Amino acid sequence: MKTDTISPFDTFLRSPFVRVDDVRPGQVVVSGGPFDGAQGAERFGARSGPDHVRSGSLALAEVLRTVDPEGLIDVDTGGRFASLSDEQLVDVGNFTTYPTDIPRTTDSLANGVYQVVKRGAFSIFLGGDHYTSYPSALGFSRAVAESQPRARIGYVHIDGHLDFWDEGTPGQRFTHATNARRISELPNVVKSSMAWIGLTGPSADEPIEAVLRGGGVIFSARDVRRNGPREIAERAGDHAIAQCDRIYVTLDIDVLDSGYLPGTGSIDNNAITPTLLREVLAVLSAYPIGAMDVMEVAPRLDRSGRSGSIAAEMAVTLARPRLLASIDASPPRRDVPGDRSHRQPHARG
Amino acid sequence: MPLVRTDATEFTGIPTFMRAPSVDIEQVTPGMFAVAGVPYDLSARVPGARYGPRAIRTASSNLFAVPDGLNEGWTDAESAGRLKFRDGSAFALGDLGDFAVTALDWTTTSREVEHAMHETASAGAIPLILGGDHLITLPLITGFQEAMVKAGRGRVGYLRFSSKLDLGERDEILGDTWRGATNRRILERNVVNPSNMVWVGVGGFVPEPEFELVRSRGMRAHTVGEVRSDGITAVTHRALLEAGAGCDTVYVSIDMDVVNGAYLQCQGIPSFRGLHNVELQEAMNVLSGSAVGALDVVGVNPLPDFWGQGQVASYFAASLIFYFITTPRDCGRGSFSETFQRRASTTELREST
Repeated sequence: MKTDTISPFDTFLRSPFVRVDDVRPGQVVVSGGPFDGAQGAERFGARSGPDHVRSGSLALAEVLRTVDPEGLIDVDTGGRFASLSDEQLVDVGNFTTYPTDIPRTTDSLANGVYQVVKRGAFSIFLGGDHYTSYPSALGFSRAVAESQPRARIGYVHIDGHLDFWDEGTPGQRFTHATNARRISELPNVVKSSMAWIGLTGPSADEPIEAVLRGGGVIFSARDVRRNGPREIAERAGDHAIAQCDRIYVTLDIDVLDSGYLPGTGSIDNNAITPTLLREVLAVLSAYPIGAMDVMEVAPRLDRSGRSGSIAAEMAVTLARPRLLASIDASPPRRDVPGDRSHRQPHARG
Repeated sequence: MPLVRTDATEFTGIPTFMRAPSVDIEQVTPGMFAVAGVPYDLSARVPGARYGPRAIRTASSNLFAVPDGLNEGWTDAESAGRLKFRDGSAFALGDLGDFAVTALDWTTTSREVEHAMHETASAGAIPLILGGDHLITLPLITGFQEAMVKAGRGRVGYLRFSSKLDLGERDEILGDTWRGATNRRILERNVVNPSNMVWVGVGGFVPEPEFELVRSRGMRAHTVGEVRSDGITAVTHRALLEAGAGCDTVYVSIDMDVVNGAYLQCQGIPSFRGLHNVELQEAMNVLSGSAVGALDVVGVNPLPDFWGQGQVASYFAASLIFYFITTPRDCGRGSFSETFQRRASTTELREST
């Protein structure tokens, strides 16, 4: 008699666990950086983020893995999608981190993402405190520089905070408040092609001025509520891609209001709702994104577990055109440098 | 190297509210915002609000270290305006610690809290009280009003953010003085003129006699429905005008149960028709620009809200008080970047001329 077993650990959307060496071009690859040693605050716990987001993705996996020749229907748009395949999405697990050693952790995570992107895959990197976004972008930047030396990278930062300090606390240049600043200094990242969505609460002037001086744009949570998620996402996406070939998107889950998402370090009480964020991400998903990350999920601050589920859903929303093949009449997404098909309304969402 | 740093990580140091100086009553100066806790919760359905003052103080360490100042170089993301403490260079915040509470004896507790509030208000401070269950508002407003009478400003309005009216009669178990009768007792003590007793955020089921009392005595209750149709800012303005009509000052009480139970896990009796958390923060905008003479925040129960729920209620309560002691935010029509840049250029212009 055949014995059925199921994996003893959770991979993202129950995708196959593979070695980085076995990653193939065109795949979507999930990896994790279980590290919160650059946070230094009371509300730590993002080190458990990657595995928690994986667990949180399992409910969604049930739906996305339903095998049906008719495919899945997105009731928001009426679009049809083929169900998720084991070829399209794989999980390479977590890269090694060193709890007391930020530079060594940086090297490890950056190399991991570099290896993924170098193989022609789309990287979804799960943090970690928001500092780990920098090693992820660093690995992406290096791989792009190697394969396409002339390619330029735009940047969209979805977060309740700017993370654009030069020094998070005096003398500290590598913290979860400096990651975007360090990314802006990468050679193929275009500083004037950086966009922020979701700023809320008190924010120091210095980083705001630095962003605007560099040509970046900032949209606050209030901008999203008032102008609508679609308009703001388009303005941010257009700004990031205008002079660039690819966009790196970072999603700090604390962009969500604490009433919906308590499980994160720096909570906000005047932020956007999951519905608004989902719309922002659906619009951005049609842009030529090269790699993305999801940061700051801290499960010990949310016993209900919903923080991981929301983060997983948001990751899938942003990566969806790359995860699920469209089987309806609309033209396939073309993801080539300089392509502007994302500007056409039918290609969105 | 200093031995002690106020700008260190938030889990270090003695957790006074926003790391303000710990003061005793002799050090309270006129105009000072004086924080005090009232860790009493024996009238609550679910005990735990006795831990509220400590939890709010701990959460407040995540905000600003008061000694380091705020007046230069901070922006509020909502309005893109400059974030400043109220009263500019005259701004002062002190933490008195907790008022004396005799755990099992409401009569003594009530007398002591009333006296402590009287002393604090008499010193000219604007008391910021961390509760405690909402019965504590009874001795607090009584002590506050007595102090105002002595100062020749005895006409006090009363504005309460709560999902309930708390105008109940005697409770079979808890007696005459219990949380659901807080405002009935305030009414009977004549510390406030009924027409200056105003509620914002009343929702869900309210006993008919209580609503009838509001009508017959000329009190005002603004419902959640009214907030939905007119907006929280307009309703708060309206309520503040009504509470302050003919008065010298207004006492404001915020019961956390006014916030929709979907956002906060601190409530004994959550209401799922309550205000959005954002709305209560917007109401603080109106309050911070007005002549509110005392503020209490009650009903923060950290037990169901602790680590496993992200301590959301404690952080929320701390941020409400933070927005009360900063200048009101003028949310204009421009986007964040436009408003910020316009502000920056006018500042430069002013500084260069």
